[in-house]
Amino acid sequence: MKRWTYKFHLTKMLEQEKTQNKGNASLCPQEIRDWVAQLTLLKGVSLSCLVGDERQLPPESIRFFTVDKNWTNQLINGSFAVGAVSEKAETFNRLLGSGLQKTAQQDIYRPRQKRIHPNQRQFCKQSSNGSTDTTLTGFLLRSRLVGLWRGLESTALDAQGNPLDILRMEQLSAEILICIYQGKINRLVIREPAEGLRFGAQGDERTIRVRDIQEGKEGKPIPQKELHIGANALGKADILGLAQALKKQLNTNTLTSAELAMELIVAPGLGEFTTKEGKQNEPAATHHTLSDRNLCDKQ
Amino acid sequence: MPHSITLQAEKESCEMQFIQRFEPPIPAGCLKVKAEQQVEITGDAQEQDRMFTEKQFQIAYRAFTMDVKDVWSVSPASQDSGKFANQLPHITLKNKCFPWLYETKGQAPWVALLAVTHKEQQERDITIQELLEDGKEPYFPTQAQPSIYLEKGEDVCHVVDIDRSLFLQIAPNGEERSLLSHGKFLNLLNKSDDQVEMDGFFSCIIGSRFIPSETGETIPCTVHLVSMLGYEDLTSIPDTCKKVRLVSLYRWDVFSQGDAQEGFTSLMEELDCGTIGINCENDWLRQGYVPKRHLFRSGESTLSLYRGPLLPFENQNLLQESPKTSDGAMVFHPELGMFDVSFSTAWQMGRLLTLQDRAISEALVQWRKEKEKSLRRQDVDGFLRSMAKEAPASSELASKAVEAILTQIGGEDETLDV
Repeated sequence: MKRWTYKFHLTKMLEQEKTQNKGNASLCPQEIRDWVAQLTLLKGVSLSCLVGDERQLPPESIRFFTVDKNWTNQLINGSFAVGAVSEKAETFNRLLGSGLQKTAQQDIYRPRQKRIHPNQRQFCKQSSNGSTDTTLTGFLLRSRLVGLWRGLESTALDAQGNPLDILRMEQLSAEILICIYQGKINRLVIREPAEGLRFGAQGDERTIRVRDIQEGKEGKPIPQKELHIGANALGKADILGLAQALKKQLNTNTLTSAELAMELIVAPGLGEFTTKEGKQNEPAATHHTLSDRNLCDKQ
Repeated sequence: MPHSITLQAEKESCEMQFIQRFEPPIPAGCLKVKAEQQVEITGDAQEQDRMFTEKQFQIAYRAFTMDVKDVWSVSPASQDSGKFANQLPHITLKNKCFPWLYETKGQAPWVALLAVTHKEQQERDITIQELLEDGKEPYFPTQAQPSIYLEKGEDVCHVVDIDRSLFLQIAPNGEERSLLSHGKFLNLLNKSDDQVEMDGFFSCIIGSRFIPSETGETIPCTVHLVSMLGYEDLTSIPDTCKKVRLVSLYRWDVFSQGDAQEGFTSLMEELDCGTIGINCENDWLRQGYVPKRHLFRSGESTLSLYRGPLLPFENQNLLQESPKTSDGAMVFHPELGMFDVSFSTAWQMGRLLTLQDRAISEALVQWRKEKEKSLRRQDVDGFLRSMAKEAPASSELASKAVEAILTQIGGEDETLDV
């Protein structure tokens, strides 16, 4: 009679699996991968843990940061420690869990991407620069702006001028907004929300610059064409008079609320911030400039 | 077909489309649904029959109040102060059909935005029953109100009374209201996570009056979104009445200062800009560390360093092993004689966040279990194959035995006698 002995080595098998599926995230259910991606973006981490001291984020301030990968790795380690009471589970976490931290990079877009409304998908562009820069940077904004202007918009560019993808943008409290991007922020623009653009005129004369409505040139101001918005003694604008004048200036017979709204938009306010490259372990110097340009002015 | 115009700024990911109007899917009122079926039997026994059924139903919208959740934003912002003299107030609503819910003459919107100073108006809350009583002063066009509405008689609505002469001078007529309301479709991708969930459609109502202002004085002012049902023709207001009553669906206060800086830009300019570390002489503080009170498990207390996940500079990624407890991730800085509890906090935070979410903690445990099972099966399969190679005849017997092993998961070592 022959005798066979069977032995099962979990560690050996796990190691084998790890080398075979190098960097393959399919090892793990999507549910857990999404959770790891969320942790990498610091979802659910309380504000007091994000900012240890109020002096780091005083009222009316904006603070730029880089996300500490070591910190988020420990966050994920802690998360995997749940229910890991046996040596086996620990081996498991050590060999497969740590691999997940690297593969989380592939899933990092998902938490936000999943939420995008089907109507908005047409605006999604594939990560345009395709860069392999896995650094996560961002800013914390603590200001009355956050509460007063619902729907602030932010666009960040890297040193080469490529737009960065927003991975997370969330209002943490009435006055605090956090935004995390993939890649290093070099230039940041915060804009007034487009749905809330102000309507009105410029200067005490209440003049507007006439904007083109021709196809292909929509929104471009026509040089030397200005109109004055008349108003009665109580400040009621002469809308019909304005519509007549616009029709004449634009050589058109139809002027609807859509065109009038576009003509009446006031240049949106925006704040522009530029980061200067700092030395290793030295806080980067940051300064910001402001401009109140019209989006539509750009040629 | 409503008219629309699209703004597209090249390179900038900003796009918006203005749309003249949106029709509500079904207009308010009594409606009837009729279903009819015609049955025809062909062949010898020819027969024809018609059956139909009718169902009446009503579509009603709110007419005297509105859901505040429909309001997306207002401009100038509520309670904001600044130089608003050249601004027309506006309100942006998430319900894209709202301004056109009720049919009016010339398809004009049934609402308008009126900016009045506190001196020019009297506001109060009254019940809808009281509002709809005839022949009262101030004048209110009770006859022109919709016959079907969602509110009950005892529900409270907000009314604002203003002088007839003032109303006639500041209220927009139907043609003006048509020009002052529009729909919008926007790219929301540069906005926060909860806002990218929205469909991108909004409706917008612009006020017809510049916000009342005087140089050197702060003028408190309320902007009302009022129902214009019954005020479509401004000449129909009787000359005898002194005041008119308007239903205010939504309102907010702004403070116009004749010579103050404008809101958004001035707040932006005042922002203190920098990196997350505390700007001071101390290197540790500048690098994002803060001292924190630290209570040990043994009961002692000390000061330890803490740094959150946000760094003022870019650092090296050192892939660490997971400690067994949070204390295992503490770092000692001999030059300061202090502990650094940043990573222990992170570890603990990760554990707590996972425990808080039951579904994910269960999924984690389940995953480990399943993975072990599948690895074991794979291993046993390999073992079986090698056994079958050596003794083909016994392979069937062996597979039975191995099945028996698999049921007893947990044993590390099994011996088979075949």
